Order: sequence, then structure tokens, then C-alpha cells
Amino acid sequence: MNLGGFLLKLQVITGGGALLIYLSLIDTQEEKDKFEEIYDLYKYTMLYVAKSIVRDQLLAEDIVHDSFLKIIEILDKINDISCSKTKSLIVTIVRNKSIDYIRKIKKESNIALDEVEFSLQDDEPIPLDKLINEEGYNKLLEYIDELDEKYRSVIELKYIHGYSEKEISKILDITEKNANIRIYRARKMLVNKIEGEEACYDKSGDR
Amino acid sequence: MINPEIDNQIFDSILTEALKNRSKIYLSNIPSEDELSKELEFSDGFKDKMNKLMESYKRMAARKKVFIYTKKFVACILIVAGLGFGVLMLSQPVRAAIQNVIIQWFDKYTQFDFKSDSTEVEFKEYTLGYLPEGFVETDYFSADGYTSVEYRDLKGNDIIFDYAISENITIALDNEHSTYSVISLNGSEAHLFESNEEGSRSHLLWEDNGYTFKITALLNAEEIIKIAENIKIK
Repeated sequence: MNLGGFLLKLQVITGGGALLIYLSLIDTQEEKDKFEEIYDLYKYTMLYVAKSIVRDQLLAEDIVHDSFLKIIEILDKINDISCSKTKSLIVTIVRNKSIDYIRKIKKESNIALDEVEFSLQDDEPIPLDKLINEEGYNKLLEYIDELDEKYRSVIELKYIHGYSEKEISKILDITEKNANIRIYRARKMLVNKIEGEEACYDKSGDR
Repeated sequence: MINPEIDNQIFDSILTEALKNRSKIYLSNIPSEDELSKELEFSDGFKDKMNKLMESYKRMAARKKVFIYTKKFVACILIVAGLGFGVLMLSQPVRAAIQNVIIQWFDKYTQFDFKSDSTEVEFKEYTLGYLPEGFVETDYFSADGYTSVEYRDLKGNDIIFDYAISENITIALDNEHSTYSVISLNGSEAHLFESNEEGSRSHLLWEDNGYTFKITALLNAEEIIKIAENIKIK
């Protein structure tokens, strides 16, 4: 068995009577350090992103704190701390938390999407001919910009980071079904916009 | 339309590329951390809160190491045990028929490997319905299906209440300074390691509804059992 990946440090501590097997693995140590490194590397970026959305220092600080609580939960999914993918993930978490705060403040209705009837079956043809040229591609970028944050976040997590619906639901604190529906809707809205139609089902809030 | 499935795949590829480009542009528009550190400032309240979070995280991460190991970690323990602790005696694994747990006895500790048959266990939060007088909750940590709550009294005595979804959990408990017995807890089997040395803690470990629970405290067995009997969903 290759033990090279482990820092073996098995100590039998009998203090207090309880035997503690202190198994310190590189993984675990890294995880501990990872959190501090993320804090050192991104705290101001996180504050900047949160502040640019909520426009309030104290609220932005609360969002940064809450975002770190979320980061702790998904620390095992973060490998290379300084890569742009990690930065993008962290920024997505902060943006999503910021929008949540704004929604709470505005007391928008939070109708659970689970309660909303929605068919995932009505696939329409995708107008690829309108997309496979520079103009079409630039339009797509514009349409992505126009998406509501809650839709943009899910497709970013799915398509940039390759997360499953289950992982997305954990990162964004939504149900797996809602993650699935949001991905579907985001995609559908983009297809409709490319087709020149207006998306007509962004009326309900969701969680 | 060539084929809806192929169209979807092409669309997804273009969308992925567009999202990556957009993200790159978005991130490049954010000033660097160095630049931001000159412009932005955190309040003292935030710094305090983050320091507390870091401390709490470190403490709980250490506690989590004691409570949970994955199968990979267990393999590591056994290898080390063989190399460094040649005297350790590994008995035949005993598979408890009713509970999905493998118990292995070593000369200094007993190892429990819990496994859950159910692939999806709904995350629930539990709390203690009974607490001995003077104890209050002082620390709480929850992540990845594992929760640890610490209660303390004014004398500094603690009660640690840990629980986690019973999926690939291994727990090792001292059997050298405690007396082991199997007791009945709300109709289920529970493993009691009652301390036989002054100043050392006792442990009670059991599995219920896809969750593994552990209570560790410097209390007598009756009190620990009473605490365990009264845990409830938050």
C-alpha cells in the first residue's frame, strides 16, 4: 500500500482516560490550512463583490462571513486555492449570498419551486444556426449577462465547474429539484432569447 | 436540426465556452486582492467573528478527526498499527447481526465501523432533551453530515454530543481505561464504555435511523444514558 500521500502521525493519547487516535493526514492539515489560505487570498475580493451588490459595509461583511460558513462545508471540493476556478466558485457563492440577502430585505415571495408545476419535457429545437457565428456567440454572452443571478449561478456551477445537481444544491442551499429546474430554465431562457422570444416564466421566486 | 441530442450537446459546448469566457472577463474586472486591501477595510466586529470562526473550525476539525475516518483512513490505521504497535491484537471482526456495524477489538481500543444500507439519509438536526444541571451549549459545528455540540458547566466539565450519518464512519474508543458493556437504549443496542479511572470520560455510542450518535462526558453511566434516551430532533 502506498502511504506516500499520508502524513502518518498516530499518537495514542491516554490523557483524561479517553484514547484518542490522533490521525493527522496531510489531507486534514491541508484542509485546515486551506480555509486560512482562502481567507487570506480572497477576503477582500469577497467583500468587494458583496459590497458591489448590497452597497452596505456591515451587510457585506455578514455576507462574507456566511460565505465562509458555506466554504467550510464544501472545502473538500476546493483543490487548487489560487486557480481562477476557485476564485470563480468563491465569487459565485458570495454573489449568490448577496442576492439572497437582497431578496430577504425586499421580502420577496419565496414560493418553493417544488410547488410549482413545471414540465421538463417540452424540449424545443435549439437554433444552432443563430449561434454558430461571432454575432450569435456575442449575443449569447449578452443573454447570459441578462440572466437573473439565481439562474446564472447554477449554469456556471454546472458548466464551468462540472458540479452535479446534488453538489449545486449544497453550494447554493437549494433543493436538488430546484437546482435541476433552474438549470433547465436558464438553458431554456437562453434558447428562447436566441430564438427572439421573451422568457415568460420568471415570475415566481424560488428556493 | 440534425438530431436533438447532438444539438443539445453542441449547445452545451458553446454555452460552456461562453460561460467560461464571461467568467474570465468578470473576474479580470475585479481589482486584485492587493489593490482591494488598500481600498477596503473590515470592521473589528468582522475580524472578531472570523477569528472565532477559525478557532471553532480548527477545534471541531480536530474533534472530527477523532470521530470520523473514512475507509481510506482506517486502512491507514491498521497498517500503522501493524508497523508501530506490533502488540496490538486484532480479533476476528464481529459483525453485529442487527446493526450494520463491524466491531474490532484491539488491546487498547475498540473500533466501530458503521455503515448505512440506505443510500439517502435525510439530514436531520438533533439536540439534547435532557441536560444535567448547570450545563449550557458552548460550541456547535456542523458540516458534511457531521455535527458536534459541546456543553459545559461553570466548573469546565464538558459533554460532547456528536452525530453523523452512518456512512463509512469509524470510531475508536478506549477500552483500556473503561469497562465495556452493551446496553439497551430506547429498544436499540448501545455500546457503553464506562470509565474506570478517575478523571476520565465515559462514552456511549449507538446507531439509530441511519445516524451514529456518541456522547462523551465525565458523568456517571446513568446520567449519560439519561441524556442519550432524551435526544430529540431539533
